[in-house]
Amino acid sequence: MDQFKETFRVEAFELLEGLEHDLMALESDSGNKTLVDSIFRAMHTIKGSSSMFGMQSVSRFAHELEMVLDALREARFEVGKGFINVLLSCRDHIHSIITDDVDSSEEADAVSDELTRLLRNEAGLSAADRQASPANNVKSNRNRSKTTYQINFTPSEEVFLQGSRPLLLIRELSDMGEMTVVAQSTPEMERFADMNPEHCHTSWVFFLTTEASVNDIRDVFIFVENDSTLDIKVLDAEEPDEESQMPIGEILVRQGVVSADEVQEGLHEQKALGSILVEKQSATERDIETAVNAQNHLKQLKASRAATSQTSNIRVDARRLDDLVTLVGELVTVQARLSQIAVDASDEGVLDVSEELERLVIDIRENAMSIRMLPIGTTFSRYKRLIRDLSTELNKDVTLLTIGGETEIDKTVIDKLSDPMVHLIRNALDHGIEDPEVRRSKGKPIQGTITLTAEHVGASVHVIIEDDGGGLNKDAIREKAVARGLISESAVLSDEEIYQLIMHPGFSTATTVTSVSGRGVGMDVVQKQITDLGGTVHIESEPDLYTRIVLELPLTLAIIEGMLVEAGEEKFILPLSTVESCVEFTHEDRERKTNGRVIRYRDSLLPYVRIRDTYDIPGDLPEIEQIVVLNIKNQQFGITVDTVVGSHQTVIKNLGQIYNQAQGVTGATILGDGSIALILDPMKLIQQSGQDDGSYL
Amino acid sequence: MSNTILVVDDSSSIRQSVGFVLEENGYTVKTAADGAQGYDVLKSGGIDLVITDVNMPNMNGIEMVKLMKSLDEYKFTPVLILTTESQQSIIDEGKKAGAAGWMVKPFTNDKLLATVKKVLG
Repeated sequence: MDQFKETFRVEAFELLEGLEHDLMALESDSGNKTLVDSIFRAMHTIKGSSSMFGMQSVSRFAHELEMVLDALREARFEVGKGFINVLLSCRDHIHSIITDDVDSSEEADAVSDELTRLLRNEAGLSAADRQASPANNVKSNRNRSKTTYQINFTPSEEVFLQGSRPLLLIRELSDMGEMTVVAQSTPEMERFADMNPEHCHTSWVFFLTTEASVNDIRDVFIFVENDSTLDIKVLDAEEPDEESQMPIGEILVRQGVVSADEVQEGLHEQKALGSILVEKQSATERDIETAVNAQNHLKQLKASRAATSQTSNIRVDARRLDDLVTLVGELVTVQARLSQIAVDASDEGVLDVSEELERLVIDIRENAMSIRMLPIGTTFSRYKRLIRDLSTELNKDVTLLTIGGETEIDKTVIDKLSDPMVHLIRNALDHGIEDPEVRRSKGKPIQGTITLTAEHVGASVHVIIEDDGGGLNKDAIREKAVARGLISESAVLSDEEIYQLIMHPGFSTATTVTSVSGRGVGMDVVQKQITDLGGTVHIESEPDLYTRIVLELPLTLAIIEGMLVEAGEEKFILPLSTVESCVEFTHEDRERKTNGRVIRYRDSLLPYVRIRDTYDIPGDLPEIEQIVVLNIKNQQFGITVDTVVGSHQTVIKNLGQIYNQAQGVTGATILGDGSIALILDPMKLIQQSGQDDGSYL
Repeated sequence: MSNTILVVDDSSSIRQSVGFVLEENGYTVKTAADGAQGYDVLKSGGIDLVITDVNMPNMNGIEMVKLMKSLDEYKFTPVLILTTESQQSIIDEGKKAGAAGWMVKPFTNDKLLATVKKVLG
């Protein structure tokens, strides 16, 4: 059982997270029945599974809560803020019991009892209500279980002439559950020559396993029931049994064809039961055939159940995924080598195989990467609780707006994003959003808003934390930086540069230290964590309007689609997602240039950087250079290289500590021939060259 | 090619509301105010389903259905009879004349669509 306990815990935590989300949604939408149902279901599942895994105290507690929630489902009281508060605490209590994995400590039970009492108080329920509800649950659960019916249907001969189509009825039936259809010709039709093609000479037996009731099934036949023979029998009221298979004898008895005694008698004769019963004329061959069909239906049902339960989700240790991605990375590198060898050997056969392999590797790579991608929204919802709790603590009224929660990003990135995000949100709440009185005096809405946005920009994802608070105080930051000796008094800094100062180690401008933030460890840690992820932090702010922190993160940490280019002897990779086009840059173009490094490109001027210049690559310029036109955040610029080799699956390797500071380079990759290509960060490259002479962007 | 439904009723509001709902859901609708008119429309061909009231001036619904069933084209075409309350006698009479089903007035749009779907597929 222990091996499933981890699964239980994961499931329980997911349920608790969903519960939390629903509870908070219920707070602002107290009449929402769907939410109440969902909360009830979550509690019900927790109750059931915790008892399975030996967490009796959780199960008991969840049972108490479930009863209160059941009263809520029946609308016996109204949801208030107090109720939500206590229920959230209950949720936290369950969370901590499961986390500690200690069942039934006296302490925990005492807390459970106290919370139950508080919750009942909030709900206005007396202790007498306690026993009232469970019976209802049992009933509603039973209704939902599935039954297998045998439906014998013989329509009137005239059925077609009435414009009814048995096929439609069959379709309607099969929509109700899992069904096996057996069609038989009616006994009346003995000779083919006698058949009237406008009449119906077929009867049907359906074996239907469904949640629907007999009346639901009768409803299907409502228009034809009066002229037809319709007989509905319950064949099996239980879920198909895992172990046993219903014997033909039992089916025949249930179908009312033969009596149990006749079966017993027949069984004594040591022959196939069917043929014995036919011999004795207790049953016709058709009866036996129908019974065999029924048996098959139940058998198939069991098989399909087993199959579907296996195709749902599989939980996998994240480490195994990491290993998979590493292996795929190796595979990509080896494949690149094979391509190279195939090209060199110019052997058609090898080339074919190598191309086939390349396609497969691309598929495998995309698959492996997509397994690791998660929508970032799963973490966004976690911050909702944080904001709710903090705003209560700080007496501020703050709401959270999330945009782009469906944006997918590598799991590793998401995991490592949590700490910095919490920090930034705390900052936004504590330093950013003003007190309600201050907001009122500024003529702003009393309720502050924190917006979390996630969006794809090229090969990266931008996660933006924005508050509509007081904005950063440039002068205060500057003053403090001077006081701390971070900059000289006469330094000339742009706004962005001033804002960046708050990420300097030990910088904190909060005038009071609160429990929330302002302990002096802060933005520098955030910046370090983001940099470790291969991302960057940008700060934008406008006094009294907003502070916006933009985290630029790589989409994935492992493999990207790149464009391989050459300059001199060196090879470089540009992220393919940023490439817009390639244009030739001729000797004449070079001669003609008058105003710095800008060329005419599709009716506009395109600034460009020459890689050879940036990295001091020796050698003569080729007659015709290539400009790779990149588009990042709707800004176009060019990177001039000698030749464009083509697209390349790029396994990102870290450069290691020593080369960490390399300008405009995010990593390196190994090419098919064993040589190394640097992976360029075009944005950095262009910013750098802009800073050098202050002319671009 | 969408199915064409003929709605025969002497109440113009019923014709319009039923017609509207069916057209909204992708059916082509023709209407007639009584059995005689309905039979004329039928004779011009191309009807996949008839929804008809019973009590109508000139020619009632049952007679129209009987006539319709005598036309080769409509031998197997389904007919839905509209009745005001669940009058078993009318339902039986309709069945005998060759109707596939019935609908009791008043009915909701959902019920109408479900019933039409039941006989047209």
